[in-house]
Amino acid sequence: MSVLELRDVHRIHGAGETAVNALNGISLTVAPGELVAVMGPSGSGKSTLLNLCGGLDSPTSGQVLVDGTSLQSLSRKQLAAWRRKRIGYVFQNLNLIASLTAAENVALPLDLDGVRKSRRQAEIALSEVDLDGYADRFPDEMSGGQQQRVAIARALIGERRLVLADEPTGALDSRTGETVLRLLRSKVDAGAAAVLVTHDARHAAWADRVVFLRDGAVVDVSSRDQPEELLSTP
Amino acid sequence: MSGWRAALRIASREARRSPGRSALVIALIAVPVAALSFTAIVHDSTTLTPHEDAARRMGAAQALVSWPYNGPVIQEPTRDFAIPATSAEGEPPSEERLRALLPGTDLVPVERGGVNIRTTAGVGRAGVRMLDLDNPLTHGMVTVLEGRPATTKTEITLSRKAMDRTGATLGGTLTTEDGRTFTVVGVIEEPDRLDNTTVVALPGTFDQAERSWLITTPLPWSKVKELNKSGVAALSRTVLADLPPASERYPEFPDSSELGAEVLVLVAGLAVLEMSLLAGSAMAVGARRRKRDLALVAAVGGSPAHVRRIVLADGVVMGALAALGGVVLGVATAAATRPVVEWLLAERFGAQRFFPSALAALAMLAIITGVLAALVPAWISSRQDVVTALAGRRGITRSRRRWLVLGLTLVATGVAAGVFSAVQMQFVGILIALILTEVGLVLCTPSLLGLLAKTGRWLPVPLRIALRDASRNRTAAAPAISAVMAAVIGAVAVSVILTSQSQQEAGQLAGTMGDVSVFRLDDLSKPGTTPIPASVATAIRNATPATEAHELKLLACDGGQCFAHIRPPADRECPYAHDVLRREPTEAEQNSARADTRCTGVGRTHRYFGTYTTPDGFLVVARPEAIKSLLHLTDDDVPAAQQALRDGKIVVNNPNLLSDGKVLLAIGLQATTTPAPGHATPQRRPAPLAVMTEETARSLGYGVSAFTMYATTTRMPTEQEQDALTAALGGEYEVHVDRPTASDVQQALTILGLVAGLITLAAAALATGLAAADGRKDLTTLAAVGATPSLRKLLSLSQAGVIAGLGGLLGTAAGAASALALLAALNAGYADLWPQPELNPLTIPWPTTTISLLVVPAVAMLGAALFTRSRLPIERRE
Repeated sequence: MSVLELRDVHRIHGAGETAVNALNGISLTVAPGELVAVMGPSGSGKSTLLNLCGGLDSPTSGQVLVDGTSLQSLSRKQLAAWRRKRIGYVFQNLNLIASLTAAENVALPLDLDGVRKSRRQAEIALSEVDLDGYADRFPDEMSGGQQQRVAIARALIGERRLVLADEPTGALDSRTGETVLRLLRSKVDAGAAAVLVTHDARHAAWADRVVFLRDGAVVDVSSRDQPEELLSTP
Repeated sequence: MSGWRAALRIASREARRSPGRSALVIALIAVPVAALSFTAIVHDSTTLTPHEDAARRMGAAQALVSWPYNGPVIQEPTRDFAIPATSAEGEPPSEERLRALLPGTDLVPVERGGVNIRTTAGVGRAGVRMLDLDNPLTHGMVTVLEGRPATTKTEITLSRKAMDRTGATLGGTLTTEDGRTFTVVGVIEEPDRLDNTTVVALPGTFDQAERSWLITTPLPWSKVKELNKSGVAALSRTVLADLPPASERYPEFPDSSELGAEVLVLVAGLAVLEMSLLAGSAMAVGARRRKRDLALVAAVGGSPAHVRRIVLADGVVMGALAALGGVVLGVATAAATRPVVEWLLAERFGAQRFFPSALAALAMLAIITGVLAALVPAWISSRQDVVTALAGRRGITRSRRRWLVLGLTLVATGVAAGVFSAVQMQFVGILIALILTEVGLVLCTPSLLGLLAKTGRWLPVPLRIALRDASRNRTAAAPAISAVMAAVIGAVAVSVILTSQSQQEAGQLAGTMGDVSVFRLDDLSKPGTTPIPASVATAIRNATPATEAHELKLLACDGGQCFAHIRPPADRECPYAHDVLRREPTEAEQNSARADTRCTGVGRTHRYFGTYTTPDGFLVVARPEAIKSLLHLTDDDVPAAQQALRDGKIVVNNPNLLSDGKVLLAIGLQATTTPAPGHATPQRRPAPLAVMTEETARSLGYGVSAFTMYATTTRMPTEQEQDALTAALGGEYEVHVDRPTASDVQQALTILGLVAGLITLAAAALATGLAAADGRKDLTTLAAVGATPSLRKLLSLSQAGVIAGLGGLLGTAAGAASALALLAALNAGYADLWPQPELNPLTIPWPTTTISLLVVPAVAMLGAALFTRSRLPIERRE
């Protein structure tokens, strides 16, 4: 069963003369162990797509299913619980809450659920992203790459299997960015599913599939062995 | 508890990460809590225990007894004051009879009285307490600070105030007005009257004192009541320690209706509202700056409830810190400033106590305030659009119509409840109405801001940005404006009421506050015919800021005063007046009088020249030159009035009293009146006053008696000037100055007004600072488009102007309207009474109004300009 499925999703912002078709009949499936990159120019609908996948936004029509459950059928509270347990987000920057340590940031979804021994699970998650010994550091005591690794650890803590990453390397230098993507790839290889929004074709090369959006519609889908083609795509 | 642990952790860390803002929020809650803690401690320390109370009033004795009447008396258990129960007369009091009534007890005399003493400024009045301070039974009543107690009748001890006023020194002398000289052997203080001018001497040193006795026999209430049957009043230590139940007390003395706990709860509610608004404004800014953090929490699975909890946890943490800080600060200040507080209150603490239950309640109040302050920001944060927040956009702020409707409903309900409660004289109801109205106005403020922002297009850039910013950030601006508004409401309302009270009091006078009247003491007991010499007028002019001085006389009838006044013509006279009915009007007659225009204002009492208070009006005999001052005439009115006096007419200050060129002269309570030629001037003051010359009096067949030397002044004479005049005139005269009464309520209202004014300025400054902090990003943008550095100052100035100006405007309007409505409602309540009491004048106090409308915003703007750096900030990337 796919982890994420979008069925003919439309998203229109605004109404009347000012209405904007952000997404126009998108259908997409992401299976366990699959990393899908979404590319496209600014305003093509990438971030809207990601927001719909995470239940932060609702489609105007169509369906978004995570682990077989339609997100539209869930209440606001249930959606929040769904994000705590099933979906992990990684943003471009300012991913972490500045007043919490790395371990506390990672453990936040568990803490919100009132899970005991969340600290132990957070330390394990940090260890998996090679941040042993960083548990008690605050975000502003870490580099950008370290912060993104903390965010990935948080995105996958507990039983989550879907990572939604919105340009996670955008604020990093190329070497650090590559480390982060390698980590994401390894997590996906271990069984997670991920959607990676990026502008950079070299980053998209880490994906199993690349979906190219333009004006809210999928205009091309490439496999992971075609990165050079992507690089030349206008 | 799901999520609370994380929320509290985030809140406490956030408090440390933003020390400036945290300190501000904590201070906003902690300072009022500290002030309330301080007040609670002072209240507890000055509320005497029965033992402490007894020590001050009866020393180490068991009771203090006095024998004021020959017949049975009744008294309150806590006072040594009694009133006769019947007109029955028993045997006259004597110490021997008292010993017989209280067998086996020691009787130690203590006396109270007064004496005129020579002061550095002239002659002043001093209280006298005569008791043997060496007697162990008197210990605790008076404390000897320096020197020793008096041991002979030529020695005295003085309070510090008496030392200061007389310039006496230890070992020096004090002279009374009648020339007796005493050696000052000590400095004393009365623990509950530190500011009194007091002379303490041995019993019998001064004449005309009231004698009481300290006794050594315990007196239960039953024994006190038994003594009352003989005319003896007793204040008993046993009774003070164990007050009798209401059923055993005299029903003539009902329990005093002190303000109950519900009033304290409501006042605390108002305080919490004010603190919540101030702190809520700061918290709203904090929540806005953490918008992305909170959106991140939502993105990782935080539900709206989780986000709410995180912001509410801010309130809990800030409230807890403020509770601790406020209570500690209050306790420390109360302990450290005890001598100053005792000096200000003019009484010693019973003991230094700390009122733990009140402090615990105040700590809880601080936490509740913190949570309440965080309530609106928490609610707004939990409803924010996560996607918009993550994208760093501000989103659209709309005022919700339901809040406006609710706000307007609350305002309407509050006004209605206020008017109803005022008519019913329900203080609790008035407070509830005030809270409802304030909350209603707070709810309306965001909509009003939105409305005002629409006018921005015509304004200059800084003001336009400030107004639009306030509108866009109305979650922060509205509480700040509301805080200024709430404080201004209080300040203006208090000021309107004080002004009205002051005018009401002044309106009862025939003259003006500050007028001086000098009486010859002999004339007060028995009217004399000897004129008051011109030297008295000279002394008045020399000692006080007098403008005019005139001798006034009274009509004399059969060697006594006539109590003359002018009655209206028969067709204009109120048929239900006491003068007409010769008895009190019945309820039906009072109802009729209320509907009769002839009865309007009839029966109101007025004060004449410091001596007479009467509802009938007053008549004085004076020279024509005095007419302008007496009737407060304009220059145009004077010639005709003076000529009328010279022509033998009686001049009255109410045209309604004149009919066909005649007025009706009434003497005392006689039913008949005598027509006399009259002249009416326009009515400048409500107190009816008639004037005739001595020649006219004699031509009408009356004699005249000496009354007073009356002087008008340019300002209120000081106490020293009054002392100097008394001294200059010698012991033969008494000097009276019409001064406003400074009641406890007025003092409390004045303090409240001052506090409200300070809060107003603090709220304005705070709100401006927060708005400036919130607008940093815009300043960076402005810099990028080439705005000059001075624009930052202009923008801050405009932000201050918008918040303080709008708050001041709303507060002034609401404060003045609510106070005037309250006074009007009280006046309407008088409509059912006849004779109708003096109505509360409905006047706007323009100085206070101008301050709240112009000065408060101006000061806030000036502060913003002074404390804003023109250097543009460097923003961190987001």
